[in-house]
Amino acid sequence: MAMNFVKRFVGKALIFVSGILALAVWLGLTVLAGRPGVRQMIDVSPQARFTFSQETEDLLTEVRARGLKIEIDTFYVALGSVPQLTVEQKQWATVLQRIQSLTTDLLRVYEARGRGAVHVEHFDEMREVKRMRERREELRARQRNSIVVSIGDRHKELILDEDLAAIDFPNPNAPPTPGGQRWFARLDTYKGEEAISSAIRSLLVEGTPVVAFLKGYGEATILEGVADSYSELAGALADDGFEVRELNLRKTQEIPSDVDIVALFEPTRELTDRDAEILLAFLRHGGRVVLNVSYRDLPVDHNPTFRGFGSRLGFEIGSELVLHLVKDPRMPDAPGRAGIESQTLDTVLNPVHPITRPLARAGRAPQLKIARELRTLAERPEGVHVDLSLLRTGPYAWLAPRRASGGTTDLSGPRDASQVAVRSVGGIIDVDPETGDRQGHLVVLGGVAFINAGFASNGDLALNIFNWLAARQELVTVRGTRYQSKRLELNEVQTRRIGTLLGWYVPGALLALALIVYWRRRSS
Amino acid sequence: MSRAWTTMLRELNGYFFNPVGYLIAVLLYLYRGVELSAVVETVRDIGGRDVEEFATAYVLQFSSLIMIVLVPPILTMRCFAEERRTGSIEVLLTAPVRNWEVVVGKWAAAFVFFCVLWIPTLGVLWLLTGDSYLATSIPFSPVVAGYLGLVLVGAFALSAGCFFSSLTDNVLLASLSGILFGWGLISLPSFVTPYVDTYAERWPLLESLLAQMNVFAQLTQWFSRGLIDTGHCAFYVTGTAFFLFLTTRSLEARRWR
Repeated sequence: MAMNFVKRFVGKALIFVSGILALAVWLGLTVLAGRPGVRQMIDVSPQARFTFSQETEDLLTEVRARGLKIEIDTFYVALGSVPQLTVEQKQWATVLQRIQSLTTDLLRVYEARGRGAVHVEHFDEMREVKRMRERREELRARQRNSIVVSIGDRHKELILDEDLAAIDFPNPNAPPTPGGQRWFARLDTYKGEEAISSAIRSLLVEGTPVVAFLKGYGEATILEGVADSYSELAGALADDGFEVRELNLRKTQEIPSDVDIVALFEPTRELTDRDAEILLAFLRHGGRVVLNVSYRDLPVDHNPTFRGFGSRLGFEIGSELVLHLVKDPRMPDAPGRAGIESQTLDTVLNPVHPITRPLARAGRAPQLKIARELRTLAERPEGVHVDLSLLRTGPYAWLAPRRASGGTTDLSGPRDASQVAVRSVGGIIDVDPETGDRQGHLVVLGGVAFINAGFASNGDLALNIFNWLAARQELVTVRGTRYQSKRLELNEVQTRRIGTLLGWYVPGALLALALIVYWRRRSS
Repeated sequence: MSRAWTTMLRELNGYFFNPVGYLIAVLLYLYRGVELSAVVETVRDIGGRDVEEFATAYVLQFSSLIMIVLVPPILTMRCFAEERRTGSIEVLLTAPVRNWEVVVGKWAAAFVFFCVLWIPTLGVLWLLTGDSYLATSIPFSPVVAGYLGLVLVGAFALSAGCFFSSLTDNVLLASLSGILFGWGLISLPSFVTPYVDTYAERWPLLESLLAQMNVFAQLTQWFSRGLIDTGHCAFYVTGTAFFLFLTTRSLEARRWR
């Protein structure tokens, strides 16, 4: 009896112990399979949106090798707080929700691929008000629907619906479609990897190049809250690790030795000979300059041509406005027609230069609203190399003269075919150094207000210019796979048919099958 | 192995010629139809949405959760509990078949029937792409990945159901235990994770384990998006093996009574 009891007890104890051991093995295997070095991710998503580009993989490898930690904080707008009364508002909320969802997915992959080097923190706008506010203040986050990428003390804020996605907004002037279909804002492209990897890369770059924006020429400001300000560019430069400051040559008489790049945006007054000489000397000593001209219809004398500065460097800036014929859909074989839309130029980017190559590859040529032409001078000073192929117009561009009476711009179109041609609106002038081997570079842009007014679409070009001038070649790039959104739209008839299929036909077929089985069972 | 195969075929025959299984399917598909019709109406009302979102929504509905929480215990509740209740388990255990072959055979039959229950949803999705319905192509890859996740969770829940069924001769108790287990599997990790996150730095192993066990997050954030993590798959496969092993041991324990 006692022997039997012992045998049974030992037998049950052995089974219990084997169960415990099996549990330990299972949990151990589960933890092991989840280890960063062991787990593999198989991406079968549409457009392989979870598969990182080699550049992003290399970037994360570099981060791990340097023992750095990337913190990514998300500050999504709570969709419950977005008004959703009209169809347009509902659709906008849907677009935001999709971008948030794509971003969350992508950040999860960053975390997994980062193998401990990337940590993502999601903040709930509704539930974690205090914690979120404190973190936002700490990171100096200004936007509501954004993510902030941080490495150490440096951080960069990315706005979900501007930096991470391209949204197709409806044209309010578009004619109604047949059947009265309404158009809404819709997600066109999601470019999260490109934006986040670029942000990480910019935070990894060491050193702080100094950009000095020149003052004193009636130029556009970089101050926030001022009309036509370049504050967005200045902010983006600061986020990219530049130190941004203002410089008045009349006060300093020279360019400070710690300044790497001098920028002058949309001046309305000519440079004096003395200032031109200071800039030339700066270029001769390996300095870098960006000049973006302006165009005013009136007063006419607010359109400096920089003749003195240009003649020293072998280029000139035309005083006329560049216009381009607009394609007429009714006459597809004709070059196009003139009109108010002619002021908008679709540019052609230099496919080879490091500034424009990545944009050209991605098919992201900037669109200029108005521009002035750049031309080379026959007489070229020694040690100066002029290349005006950075940004060009299409083949049917002409120069709009000013009317004799009043001086306003005449938009009536070219008088004859000989007036249309490809025209340059952006170029680079390389200046050989007097001493040393650092070449000076001047980037001249004839496009007016295209960086401040259209920073969302043209900002990459501007940042590429500054990064190239600062010799930070690694930042002059656009990378990452993009996700093209494909939409599903349904009408009343389709909805009804689907409802009938799902609610009646499918359960009905299964019910018929159940009856057949029941009947066969009974009869057998 | 052939004896496990024979057991599976015998069990499968029972599943397919029992109208109760079909009635469960009718109710589920009716509910699923109502749910998906609501999704379609929302798409119409808001003026459209991303096709991939529709594909994800198609896979993961509340009815899908019902399928993985309620159906496995219902399928497995009779596996051993009924045999114990009627006494036929003694016949089974004295037959020239090993305990593990009985367990694997019964589990495999339930698994095959569980997979068959999902097939109409794929057929319906294929039908929906037609010109009369959605009139667009749907990305099938996240759908397939989503189904893989559901099938893996189902296999795991079925093995746990087999185990609970082997512990009792009460069919209702076996099914209730399975349902509680399934519900715990879906909801518990999501509930516990925020608390554990506080101590994540102190107990990284626990955090990692919880992440691996977070079934709901894996289904909604990984599989249904078209991202398959081998770590997650390993959790289900080894978990299934673990419960099948426990079931075998449980049958073994009868020898010591």
